[in-house]
Amino acid sequence: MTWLIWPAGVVALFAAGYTAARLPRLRAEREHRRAAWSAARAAIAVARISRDAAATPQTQADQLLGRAEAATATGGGAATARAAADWAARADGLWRAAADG
Amino acid sequence: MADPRRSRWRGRPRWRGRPRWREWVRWPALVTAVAVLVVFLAVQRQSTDVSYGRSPAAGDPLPEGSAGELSEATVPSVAEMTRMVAADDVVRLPGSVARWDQARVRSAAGGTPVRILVAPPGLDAAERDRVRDVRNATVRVIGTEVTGGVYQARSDTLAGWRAQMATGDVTNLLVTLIHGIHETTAPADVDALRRRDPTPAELAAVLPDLRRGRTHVAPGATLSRSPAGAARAAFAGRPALFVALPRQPFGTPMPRYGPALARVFPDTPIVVLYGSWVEYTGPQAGDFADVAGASFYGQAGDRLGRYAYPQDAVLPAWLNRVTDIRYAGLFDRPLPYRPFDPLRVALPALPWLFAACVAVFLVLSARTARPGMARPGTGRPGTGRSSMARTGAARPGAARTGAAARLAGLTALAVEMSALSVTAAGAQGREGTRAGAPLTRGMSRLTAAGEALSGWLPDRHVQDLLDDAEADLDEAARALPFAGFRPAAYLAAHDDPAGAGR
Repeated sequence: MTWLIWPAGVVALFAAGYTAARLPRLRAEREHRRAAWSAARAAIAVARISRDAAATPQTQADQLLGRAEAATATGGGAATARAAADWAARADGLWRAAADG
Repeated sequence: MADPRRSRWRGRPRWRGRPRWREWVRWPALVTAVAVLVVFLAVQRQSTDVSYGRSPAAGDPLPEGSAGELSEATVPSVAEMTRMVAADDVVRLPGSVARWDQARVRSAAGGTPVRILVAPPGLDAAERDRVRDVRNATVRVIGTEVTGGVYQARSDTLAGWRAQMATGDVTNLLVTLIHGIHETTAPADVDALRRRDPTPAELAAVLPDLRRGRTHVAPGATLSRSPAGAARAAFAGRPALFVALPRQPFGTPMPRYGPALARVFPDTPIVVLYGSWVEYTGPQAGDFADVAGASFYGQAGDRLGRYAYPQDAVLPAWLNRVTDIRYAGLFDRPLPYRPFDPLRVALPALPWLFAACVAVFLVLSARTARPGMARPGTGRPGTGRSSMARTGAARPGAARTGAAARLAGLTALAVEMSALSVTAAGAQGREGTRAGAPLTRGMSRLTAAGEALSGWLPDRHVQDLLDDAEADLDEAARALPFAGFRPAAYLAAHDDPAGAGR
């Protein structure tokens, strides 16, 4: 039964190779997603501050921020997170303009 | 020093990487495992000798007669032989060599008529078939092979083989066979061969050749070449003497040359052939002569009896058998030196070596797969190096330390500014609130950066958040009535080791 070592070893090596190739990629994707959501949350927080500082209410900015918050609540991939960050940044820009004006 | 990302944190980075030695063990283990696997596969040999299921193609690779075992003798037609057997109880075809004690055979036959057909040795297959087709013969003797009915009689003792091979005596075989055909119990074999010392005249004929170190071939013997190579292997290089005699006459005592020659040539291997019978006298005769004889004639006796092998074929075969026995370690002789072959030694251990290498590699690799052991703080894995290059840090840990220091510096600035902005708001009214929003935004971003840092997010992301925070703080600082709070200037001032105690 010694011969079983050979196929078992080969299978183990291939499994290890697959894991070694797959694991960092999975980890990278997860990290990328977390970073995107972190950026989105930061953008939303900043937008809220700008909203509080704004002199006049901005309907469009409210809508944008609402969409970003809804996306945050729903969750999703990195693309969703980037979209949420983008909406929050645009809302932030509108409120800043309103505050300056 | 102006670069805020390169902070005063120049100490040992927090990166808990795998120690070097692990890499030095891990990859060689994998390479060894693969090498072992390749070696294992390379030494696998597919034997060409596969017979099961391919039987029809498996012909005898040696054609009959290739060793000179076929004689010139031939036999008459079946009808002719049948007529001869019907006419006479014992038919002896020309060239036949088998002899027997007629009284013993007759008494074994009892009252039943036993017709014996004696054919010469060395017949080819077709001629043997003709002999077997003679139905009225009770016993057929081809050479010294004795068959009859469904039986074949075989010698199974050294004495039996000696009588059969040296003198063509088949008495015991005939007696056994006739008893077998009659389904009665055969009496024990009788060793009727008498031995005697050779006469001085016989010795005198042999000695001159041997004294000159040559093989003595008596008239009628069929040894034409000296088996020097086979003898060197069989007797470990010790020069041996060979005497080849023809088949000995039946019924007279057979000379025993061995002891007589051993007295003349002490401590020398002496091989005497009487027909197809090989006798050894000399060193270690007691150790292997009987074993070699029994093994050789037990295996080859059938063919030696049926065919007319020349002594040229018999002697090397016997010597090779002696060599086999010597190398089998049956008697105490040191084996010749065999060069060390690491593959032969390692072959049984190869699977375990392979398994060990695989295990080592897997165990050391498993640490890589553990999340805590991943390279923290690098950018996207897979682009980790370029990420390091972007942050200007030599190692990922250094980048992380830089980000932490920058965060700390900016947070300190924000705290100072928040205190100042309250003062400024009190003093200057609206100017203070103009600083308030960017300052709050900056602090919010700093919080996010702190969370990202503690969540082991990529350094690039942390730095992006810090960049934004710095921009916000810069905007807030510009709104403040006090100088020296622009982040670049503030961090540069505080990065000065002299100002560390402030």
